[in-house]
Amino acid sequence: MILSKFKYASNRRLFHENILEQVFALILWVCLWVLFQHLCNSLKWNDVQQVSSFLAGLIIITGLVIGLAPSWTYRLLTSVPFAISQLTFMAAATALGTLILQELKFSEYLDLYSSVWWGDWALFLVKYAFAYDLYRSLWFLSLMALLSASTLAVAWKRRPYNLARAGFLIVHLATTVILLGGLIGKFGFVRAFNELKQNQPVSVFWKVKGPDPNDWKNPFTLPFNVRLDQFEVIKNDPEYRLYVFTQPDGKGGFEENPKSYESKEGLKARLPLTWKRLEILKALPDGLNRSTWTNDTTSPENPVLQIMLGTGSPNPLLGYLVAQDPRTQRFNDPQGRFALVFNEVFEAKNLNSFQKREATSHLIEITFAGKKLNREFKKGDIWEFPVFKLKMIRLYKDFPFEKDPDGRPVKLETIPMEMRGNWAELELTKNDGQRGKILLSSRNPEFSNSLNAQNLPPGLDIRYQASGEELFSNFVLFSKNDMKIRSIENGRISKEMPLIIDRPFVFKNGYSATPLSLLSNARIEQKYIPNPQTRSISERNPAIQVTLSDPDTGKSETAWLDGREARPTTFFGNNLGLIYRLKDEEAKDFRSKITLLDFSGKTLAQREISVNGPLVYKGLWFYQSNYNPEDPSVSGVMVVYEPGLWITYLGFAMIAIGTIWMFYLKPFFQKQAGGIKK
Amino acid sequence: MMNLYFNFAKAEIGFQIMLVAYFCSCIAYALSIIKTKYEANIYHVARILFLFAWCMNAYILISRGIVAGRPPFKTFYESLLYFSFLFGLLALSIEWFKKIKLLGFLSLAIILSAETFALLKQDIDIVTVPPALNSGWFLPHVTIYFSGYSSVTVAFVLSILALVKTGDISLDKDSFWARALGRQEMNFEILHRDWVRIGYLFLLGGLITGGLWAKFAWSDYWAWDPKENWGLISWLIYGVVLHMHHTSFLKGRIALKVSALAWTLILFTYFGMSYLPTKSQSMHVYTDPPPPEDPGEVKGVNRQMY
Repeated sequence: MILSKFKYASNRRLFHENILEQVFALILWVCLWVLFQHLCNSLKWNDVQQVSSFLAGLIIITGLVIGLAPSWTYRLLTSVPFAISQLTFMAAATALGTLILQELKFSEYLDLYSSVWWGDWALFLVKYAFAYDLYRSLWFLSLMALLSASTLAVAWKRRPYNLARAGFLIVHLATTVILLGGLIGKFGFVRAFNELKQNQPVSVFWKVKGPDPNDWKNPFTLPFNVRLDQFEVIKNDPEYRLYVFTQPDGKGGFEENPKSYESKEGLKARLPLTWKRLEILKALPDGLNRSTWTNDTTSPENPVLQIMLGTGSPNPLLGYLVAQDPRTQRFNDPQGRFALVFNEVFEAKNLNSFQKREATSHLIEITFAGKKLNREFKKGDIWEFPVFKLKMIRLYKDFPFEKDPDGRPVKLETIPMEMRGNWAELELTKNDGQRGKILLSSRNPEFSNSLNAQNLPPGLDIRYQASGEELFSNFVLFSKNDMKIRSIENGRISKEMPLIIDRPFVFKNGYSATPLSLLSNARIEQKYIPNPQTRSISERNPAIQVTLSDPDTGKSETAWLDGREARPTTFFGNNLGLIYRLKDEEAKDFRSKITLLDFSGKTLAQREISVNGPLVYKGLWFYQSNYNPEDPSVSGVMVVYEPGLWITYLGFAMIAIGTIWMFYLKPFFQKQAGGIKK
Repeated sequence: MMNLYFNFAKAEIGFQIMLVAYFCSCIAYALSIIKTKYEANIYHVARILFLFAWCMNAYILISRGIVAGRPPFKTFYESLLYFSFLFGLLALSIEWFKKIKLLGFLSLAIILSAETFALLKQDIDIVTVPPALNSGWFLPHVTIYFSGYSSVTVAFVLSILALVKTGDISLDKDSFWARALGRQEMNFEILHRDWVRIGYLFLLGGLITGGLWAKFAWSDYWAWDPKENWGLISWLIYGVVLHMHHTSFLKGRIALKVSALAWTLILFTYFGMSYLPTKSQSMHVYTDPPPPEDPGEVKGVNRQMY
């Protein structure tokens, strides 16, 4: 009965010419192997058992088909339309794997696909067609096996071969050679990791899919030891560039893609979209900030008070309070005992604000690429940017140290003042996958910036503003309108005297604040000097002095730009912004010097491995795989064993040579053969 | 549109000159197809402008490579400049010798589209390359692949010309098509097949050099990475096109249409990776700014480490 049907099919040339029929046949073929894999799974067979049974199944099917309808099979496998159908089907199957995320847990697929309109289809394919590991599924392997069978059959059909047709033979054999190499590799393949510590030889690596030590369960023991002699991260020399923003966005920020210039002394350029001209007057590779306030009657009103704070020690503190700048209008005692505040106007109704209270608003403010953005802190929120994303983790009332280095709980009083106050914890994920914890202090942003410096991309400034919060109960308030100094305790005035230059105001247990000068139209006079000390590249603070001139009005503005300042310095009434910052911090390479030693200590091989430079020893490939930024004496090394590699490479060579032969050498050989015949 | 203008204003002067020259050449090619008494002069100007723009393109690439101290293929801006350079070379050569105005016009339209896209992406700054790209394989792999992209783009243009030039088109001296396609009888279908072959070979070379490089850098010659997969898919479909020439019922216009469709797969392989749901599992998304959805979920090998 079956035989007669096959004979009928054979006579009708079923599947031989009609591409739709062929695609239907391929779908049936795929379904067969999907069912087969479900059977294997129900029998709880592992990968190797499944592939072995798959190969056995292939042999049985081949035997059956050849036995029942040899000519029909041969004609189908060698038909050009079937080749077209197979290649198209293979391409479509490969594309499917790029649409469905691979190797996730089913619960993750549910999360991903349950809310999209095509999610049901994706979940169906994941659940029933092994689309979660598509390229290793038996049905995908069956397509490759069919391709191999087709190419072998075609190669057989085109006999006899001569030089002119050898290219065709080589190309069609190459597919099978490549797949054979892959198949051999599948059976003997090993990938194992270990984190090597300097000068501590190891012979055991761990067979895992990734470098996460939590997955290290199956050991892979080498017949020798591997020792890490040295590990180093090679960095590119830091390059600071001048970024010019010419498109204000009306919200205090600028465009995302500024034009950048090399920070070379003497550089002159016309700025894009404007006739204004830029000149770099000075470029200091390492500058020291020596800026001071001066009174300039031509400047707008900007009251600044210079204060000398006497603390009982022989060296009093000197500083400026800027009435119009919320960040610098007050000085907070590092020990939390008092705060000095300079206000333009004293208002009795505001006395209540001078006492302790908790924050009512928590704002995360970001300055990046000249743009200033802010968002209210909400636990779990993700804030996405072009090159990184921020996840809001939690808020702390105090610095999030719960235990000291000895494991004892830390009392609040023992925590330094700069660590006190509100903190926000965020997680920053760069687009290369690197994650880092960001801790932001609302009270001392400079301190938290220094903590986060390693994890922040260049040019990014993140601040946390806990507004409405007051940590102090004692204040010394200087007011300009009535020229008075007041000591305020818990919202009540305890002492008051006129603000007179050089007259000290004693306010608490021998502390005194003496106004040294009051500048009504203060202007900061920027000044940077070259650092006389030689510091390492990472410690340096480059600065440049630039001048911007407007030929239309004849006006020009000059300013110093600090390489550490992430916020743009604005010119010509906020119409132009300039940032001088590090271009990027990409590591150039990661290098480990490793030695392979036999168990008696004799050196077998030694080499410096890097990202593109593995060590190959007796079929084992040793790769630089990862590193621990917190421990430079540790290097992640991966060992790979892939037995079918050279067979696959042979297949690569064959397909390349065969294609060139078929396309370009064939006519030459044909001509030669024709000549000989003549 | 305004964004495009702003970005153009911010681009380096050489790029601005090159883009203007390509644009003027494209317009001149279009005008030279129209029958006027200046037709020959306009055509002459179009070709000279094309040559000049291409020379500027070469100059920008070389000078950028010198300044960066590496092959200039890292960003979209650089790779599109490189594509324009290679494709421009092929298109200009064919046009120069075969005198097909429509080919010149279509090629310039493609180059201008590529450069406009480069302007929109605006990643003009020279950036340092990640460790995985710091390799001797970088130059040959990208060069071979982009030669492949350029060749199949030529094949695409030729497939359009072959589809346009049906049997009933007259190549009389004064006809529109004679001016657009050249006055000599030419079999665009055969010419198209030849360029598909060249492109197919280069795409294969790209896959092989990529595999060899990946073995050194990432330990796998093939890891079913989305970019690798789409490279394979486009190569397979060009394989389909080549096989179609050997069937009686699929060769001709159907093969030409499939070839044109295959070129869109090349476009997707080049530009579309960041739109794939699996982009976070690709290690080839070097040029695209959006971050992966959740890199912590990336499964598989050690590729995510760098």
